[in-house]
Amino acid sequence: MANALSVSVHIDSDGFGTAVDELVVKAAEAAQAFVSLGGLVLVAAMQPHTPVETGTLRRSERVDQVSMMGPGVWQSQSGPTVVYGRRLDQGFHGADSLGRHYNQAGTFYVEAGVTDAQGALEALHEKVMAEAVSG
Amino acid sequence: MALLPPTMAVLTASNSDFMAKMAESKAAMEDLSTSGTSSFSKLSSVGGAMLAGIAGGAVAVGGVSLKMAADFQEATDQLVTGAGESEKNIGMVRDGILAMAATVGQTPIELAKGMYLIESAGYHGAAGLTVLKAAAEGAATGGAQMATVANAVTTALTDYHLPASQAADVTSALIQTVADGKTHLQDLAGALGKVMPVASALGVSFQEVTGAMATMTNAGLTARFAATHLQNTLLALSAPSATADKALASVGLTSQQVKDTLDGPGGLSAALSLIETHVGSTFPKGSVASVTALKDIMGGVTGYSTALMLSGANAKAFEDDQKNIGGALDRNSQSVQGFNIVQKDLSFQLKQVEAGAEAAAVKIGDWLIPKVETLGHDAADVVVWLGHNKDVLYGIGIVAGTTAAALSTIFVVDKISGWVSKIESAGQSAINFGAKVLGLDAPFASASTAADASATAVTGAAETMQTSMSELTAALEANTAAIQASLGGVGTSAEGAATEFGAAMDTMDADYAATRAELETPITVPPPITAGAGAAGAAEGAGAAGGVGAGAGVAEAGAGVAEGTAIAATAASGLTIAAASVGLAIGVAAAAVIADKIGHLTGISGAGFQQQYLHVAQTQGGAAGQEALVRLDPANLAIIAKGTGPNAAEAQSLIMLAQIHADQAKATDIKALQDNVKTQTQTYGADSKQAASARAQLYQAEHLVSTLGAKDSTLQSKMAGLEAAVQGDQVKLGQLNEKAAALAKDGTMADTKTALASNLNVLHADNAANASGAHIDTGAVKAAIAQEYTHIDALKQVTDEITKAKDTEKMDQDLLGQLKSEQSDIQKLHNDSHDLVTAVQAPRSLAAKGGIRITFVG
Repeated sequence: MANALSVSVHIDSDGFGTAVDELVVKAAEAAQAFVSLGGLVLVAAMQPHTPVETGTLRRSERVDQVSMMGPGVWQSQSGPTVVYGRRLDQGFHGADSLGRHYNQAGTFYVEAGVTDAQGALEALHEKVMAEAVSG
Repeated sequence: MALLPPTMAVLTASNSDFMAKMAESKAAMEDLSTSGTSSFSKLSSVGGAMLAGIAGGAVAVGGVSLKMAADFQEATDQLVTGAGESEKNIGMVRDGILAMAATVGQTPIELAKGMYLIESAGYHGAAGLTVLKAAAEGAATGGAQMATVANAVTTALTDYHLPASQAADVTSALIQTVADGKTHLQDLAGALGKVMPVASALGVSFQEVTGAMATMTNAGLTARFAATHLQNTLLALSAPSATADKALASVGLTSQQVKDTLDGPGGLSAALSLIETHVGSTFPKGSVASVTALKDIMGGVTGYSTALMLSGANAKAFEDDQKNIGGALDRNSQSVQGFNIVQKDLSFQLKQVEAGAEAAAVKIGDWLIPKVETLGHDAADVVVWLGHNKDVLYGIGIVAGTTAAALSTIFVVDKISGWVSKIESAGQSAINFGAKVLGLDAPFASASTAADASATAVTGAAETMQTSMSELTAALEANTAAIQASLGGVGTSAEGAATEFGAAMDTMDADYAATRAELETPITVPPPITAGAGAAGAAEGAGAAGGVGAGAGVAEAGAGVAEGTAIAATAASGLTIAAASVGLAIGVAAAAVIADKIGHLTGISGAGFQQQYLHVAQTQGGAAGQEALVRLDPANLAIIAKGTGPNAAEAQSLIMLAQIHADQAKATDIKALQDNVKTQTQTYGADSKQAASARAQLYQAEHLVSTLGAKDSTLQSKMAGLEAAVQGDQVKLGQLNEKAAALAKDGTMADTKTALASNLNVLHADNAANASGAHIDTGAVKAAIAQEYTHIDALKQVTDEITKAKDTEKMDQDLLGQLKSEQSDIQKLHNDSHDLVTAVQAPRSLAAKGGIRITFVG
């Protein structure tokens, strides 16, 4: 036949793959941004609950250890850095190294900050991820 | 300084599952690309030109057309089996419906449903089609459903014994009623059946009934209540009760006078006027007697209210309404009043295009059905499969020969849109499932599930496409012989088959051209945009030169450069190509129309329509511009909003509205997520407090155990000493007893004392003898006495020691008993404290966690 009839299949797999790759990279970048910014949100949220005598404990609170835990997995740590931060947060029951006995109640200021930060963290995660995958 | 675990918040965001699924999706799509290309290349070589033409053109179109044709056939078969149409005439009725679809803007299926009611009312064949046309035009003009208007029109025609030729006028009168009254055609049509049979039987005219309905709905009644009230009034005036008779007599009237007036030329208006006049002249206006008389005459409250709504101050309005409706009824036209105006609306023109395209598709399907039926069971499976997977056919872009460019433009756009949608969907899912998870380790499981679900949306799509392609390939390959045999059965050779195929398609070409002409005649199609116009024009010119009229259809429907090019290419190959190719071009032309229609119906508008909507929205205001605006894709809506055209503000509003809707949806999602997180946080908070309490309890318990242990140790030491002392006491006591026993061998205390007394008596006797001068040798006695004294002293000493030793032992035994009792108490406390430690073992693991841990997995 003169007319060259044929069957063609048009599948742009390269385009699809490129789009997927870009999406994955953006999602990973967003994860890093989220844990960094989210850590700051947590610090800001726990400070109002932190016991204050000299302010040292409150000033010691910061974001640390922002690190990649695996492909696309990012993590940060937020909390106090002075040694007695843990004792004031969790309380202390028992004898210290000098043999003094304590039955000190915890203030749980880290937990209180986490509770307060929930909504902000959600919104932040939503925003960061949305910008990443739709931008 | 590093943070001191565990007092810290750990925030984790993980995309690992999502990434894994994305990788799977990518691999699946690459597999699809490889296998799909090779499969269809193979198919092309195996099937040859004819098969390729069928597979790429007719089958793709036929998958849709067959379904439409089958549905239409089923609907029209019911006209014979359930509505009284003759088998002889059903073909004519089907043709009439298909020919009518594009003109009246109703799909063949909708028309068939309306025709069922009309045929059921006794209007068959050509008469039925006349009523159907009127009802369809009425539905378009009055904005009502086709079946409802058909029901109302046939009710009026039947009740007033009117011929089908007056269907258009009756429909116009109904529309006029709606215009004069305060109701919708939909509501009016539903209410007429309640009053018209009675009114017709009592001789009340059509315009009186509908005029009363218009006036009463204007007064505030719904169409249904107006019909009920009117029916009650007519019955009361025609057959008055004894109370009504008495009331009529009280105002100087008889029931026969009222009935005669009602039947006379003045009708209901005159009867109401007669009653009103007599009541007014008998009783003072507004008096209780006046109201009571009128209520009794009218048969009660509903009749009284009807009289008030149609007489007195309202009589003029009632009269005007009757006059207007009567004018519509006397138009003696073949077309419904106002239909010519509706035809100018873009929205109706689009309905006309859709209906016409569907009618054309039904015609294609009608042609294909007998062909397919001859293919046997396997082919039927293929058709069913095609019917269920037509989107896959379009999505993977199966195109044939010279028509590749024409169809790929449409299909590739759809395909890309689908992919973008799926990718966006997957991204959104990533956001959602990431935001859902906050708290302890346990929710990781649900996060993983959510990741699977979202990523599967992409993977599943790719796999489905791959599977579908494989099935399609296998099915087409398996049925190649059957298709060729079928075609061979019509002709005896490939050329014969091609000729038959081409001839049949020529017939379809003529049908399509006629349908197309019908479509084009009443429609003012907005001009295509400039970029497409040149190519489309070229295509039309080339198509006309080559005699392939369908090419113009493609160019106008698609109005794209690619379509134009494709048709030009077809025309360039000339009419010398095989008939199959001509048929294929026609099939493709229809495919373009249907593809756009399908795209429109499913919300994925074809490029051609979008371009036309864009053009209209940019240049026209009013209803046409508004209609085009709401049909535009969001991206094109943004173009309008940024411009200075008549619809810019409206487009901005629509965009804002869409954004608001999106924000609202997002807010709802966020709220749900917040609630979820709040719940988890509260749970964790409770756990954390429980952990603190557990730590305190544990400390106390362990401290108690430690204290009790120390006490127990001291006690045990004391007890051991005492036990040793008791043993010493007992040894000493034994020795004393042995000593006492040894002394007792030399004489017990009593024996010794007896002997001592005896010896002392001897000495006393000696002293007495000495006094009398007798002399006794007492030396031995004295010695014995001395020994006896010594023995007694020894016995006393041992006895005292034994007594003392016994006291000591008793004291030690008592003390030991006390210590044993204390040890028992300590053991009991120890056991209790051990139980306490055991009891806090479970929360101890929680206490051991010590800190807060937040985990986001996204």
